[in-house]
Amino acid sequence: MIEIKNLTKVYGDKKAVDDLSLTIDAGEIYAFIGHNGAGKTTTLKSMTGILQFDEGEILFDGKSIKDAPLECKRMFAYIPDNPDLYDFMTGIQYLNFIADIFEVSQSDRQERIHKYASAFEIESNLAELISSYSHGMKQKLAVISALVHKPKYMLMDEPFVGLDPKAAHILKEYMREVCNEGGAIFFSTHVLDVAERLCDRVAIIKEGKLIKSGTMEEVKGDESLEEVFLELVDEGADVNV
Amino acid sequence: MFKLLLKKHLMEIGSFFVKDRKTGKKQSPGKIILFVSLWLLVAFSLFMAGMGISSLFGKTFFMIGLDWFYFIMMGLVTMFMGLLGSVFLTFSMLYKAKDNDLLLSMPINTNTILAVKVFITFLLSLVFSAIFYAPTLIYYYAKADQTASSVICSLLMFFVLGLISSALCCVLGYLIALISNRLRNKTFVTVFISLLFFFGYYYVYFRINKYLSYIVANGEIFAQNIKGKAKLIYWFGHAFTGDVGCLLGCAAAATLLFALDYFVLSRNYLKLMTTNRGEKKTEYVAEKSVKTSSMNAALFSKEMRHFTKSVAYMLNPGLGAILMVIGAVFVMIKADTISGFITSKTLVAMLPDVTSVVSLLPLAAVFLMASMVTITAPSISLEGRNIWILKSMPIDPRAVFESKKRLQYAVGLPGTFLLTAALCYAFKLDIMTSAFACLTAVAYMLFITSFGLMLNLLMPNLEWKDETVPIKQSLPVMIIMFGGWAVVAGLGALYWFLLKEHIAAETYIKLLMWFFIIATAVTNIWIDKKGVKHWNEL
Repeated sequence: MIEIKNLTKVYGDKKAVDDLSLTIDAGEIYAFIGHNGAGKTTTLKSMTGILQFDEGEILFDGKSIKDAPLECKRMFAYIPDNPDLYDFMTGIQYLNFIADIFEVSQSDRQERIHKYASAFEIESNLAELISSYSHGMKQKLAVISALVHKPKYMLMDEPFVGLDPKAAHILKEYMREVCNEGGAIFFSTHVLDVAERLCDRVAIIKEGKLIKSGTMEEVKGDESLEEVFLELVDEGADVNV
Repeated sequence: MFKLLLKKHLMEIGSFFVKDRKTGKKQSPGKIILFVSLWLLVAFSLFMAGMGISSLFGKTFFMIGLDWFYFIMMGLVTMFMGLLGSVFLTFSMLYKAKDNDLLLSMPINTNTILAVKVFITFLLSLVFSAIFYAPTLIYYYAKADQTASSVICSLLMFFVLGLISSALCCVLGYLIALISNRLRNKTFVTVFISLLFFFGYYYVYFRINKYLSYIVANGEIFAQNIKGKAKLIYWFGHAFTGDVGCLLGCAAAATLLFALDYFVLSRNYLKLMTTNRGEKKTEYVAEKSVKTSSMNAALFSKEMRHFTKSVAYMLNPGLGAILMVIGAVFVMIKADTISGFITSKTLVAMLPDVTSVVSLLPLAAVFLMASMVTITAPSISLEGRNIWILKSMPIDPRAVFESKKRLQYAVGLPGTFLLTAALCYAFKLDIMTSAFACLTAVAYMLFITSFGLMLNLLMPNLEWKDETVPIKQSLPVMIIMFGGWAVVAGLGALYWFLLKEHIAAETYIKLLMWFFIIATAVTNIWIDKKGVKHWNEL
């Protein structure tokens, strides 16, 4: 279980995230939606330890990212909104690097790299420098590097941007696979159709504040997620389910 | 269309002086004036060098009626300057231009695109050639006897030289494009060529007077040989001095060469611009490629890969290390000469106290060179937008710092040790003093490694667009390099003016060793405690 308790992150005198609380249970795919600059990326970066936050607590299976960062980081994989990877490495060197950090055994990494790289159709490109990759290929490599160490939790910022329809479909399958094995997925997206069809729960954030969260049915009722989102964002509602 | 494209390209060249290359924004007037002044200063320096060579050749050759030989020599120098100045611009403008795709997508005839670019190449060749040809003509008009035809011919030959230079530029630019497309280890080849150029430049620079004097002394013999055995070159020289027939012949030959060049290019230009030959695709073999290593080894190999894949990283923070290894070999070869100089009566007469500090000199030299090894100083900044990778993974920041330090040790320590040992041998120091000198040099390298990392943790810049910004222009790098040189001067002055009478140089070396060991330990403690905090806040 991932718990975000009263998370607050301030930039200068602006609260990017304001007293945000969420719980992501095992087996859940949780969507995090909001307009540009709402605080989604800041929340995700705070969860991963990339950003330090001012108040609150983030717990992975009861362990705090502040107090036990290495233990928490062993549990999750993070995919940023822009796949800035090491251009001076080849694809396989990058995957080996990630697998080395997570101490993935030779046989496991060989099997997983083959499985994911062939599914995303970049296996034949793995010996090439990342600098020669297209945006989509970099995004695929970032996804594979996240999956290669079999994380319990996946934290993803706009993971479908740049992926072709087939790769996006495969990623959704793997997301479900992670959840079926007792993990959880927390991801931000602007593609509301995907969120509606794929996710078990959803949270809507506006100007750093959580304005609605709950199961998909609780949040959208009989309407579409898009309609609910637009209504909430326009009205500036401050309802928490 | 030709005029429109020409205007666009000329504006692009003009923007080189007024716009920031990274942001594309207009520079402040002060910066523009400074930038233009620097370029004018470079051009003026070359112009004055041209005046020097012209007067050296002119003085002798005009007296013995070898005006034509003077022009052959100066013509060759002029063409070389034109070629050197514009070949890389031609390469980037003709074959690697960023606007090639855009221009091709528009309803513009390919031949027009090519014609404009070749014309610009010709103009650039003229500009670079003029820097050397202007002094050639000034000296000729001032000191030699001319006729009306020699004045006109020498002026017209400027355009002939420009034609030949630009034709050669197009061919050389094509070869560079071809080679750079096919190279597999571009970084190493570029570093190798850069070093070759660096050493070649200094080799010629220190010997240029000798070569020029040799040409002047033997000019008459060379001229006779050319007259007898190389008629084409002989006619080329006469084309400058008023022989209209030779001028027409040279102009025709240059035009033919240029036209042939243009014809071949125009037949292949579209193919050249649109076909990316690229590198041969490397085949992925899972069994060979999937390898395991420890976290520390993985972090170190990541740092090493970054270093070896970046020309800027290797040639700037790594240059000192390369120079130290080369220096060590040079010192071993010239050990007797160095030893003779140190013990020479002339030196001892000039500086009677030199023998008391002689054992400090190897260290001073090594410290100066080692201060140029600034690998850790930009290493945090170089993470740039990729910093999320290390920060989101289960890695203790201390392991990241250690990997960065280990890279500098791996690159810098061998050269530091070798150069110190070689200098100690050349200076005939005893074994104990040599051993302590080596240890002190190593301690200094350990210190600047940690100190550079500390400075970068205190002053990081992750927002760069071009990695040469943290590598070449950041304060941590400046402090390590220039501060290192200042430390050498300070430590030298401290000993010379205050301590020389009280402690032996050998004792001073031991004191320095302990000083740098303690300073390294203190810096490392800071990195382990405060450095981690700074890293987390990045």
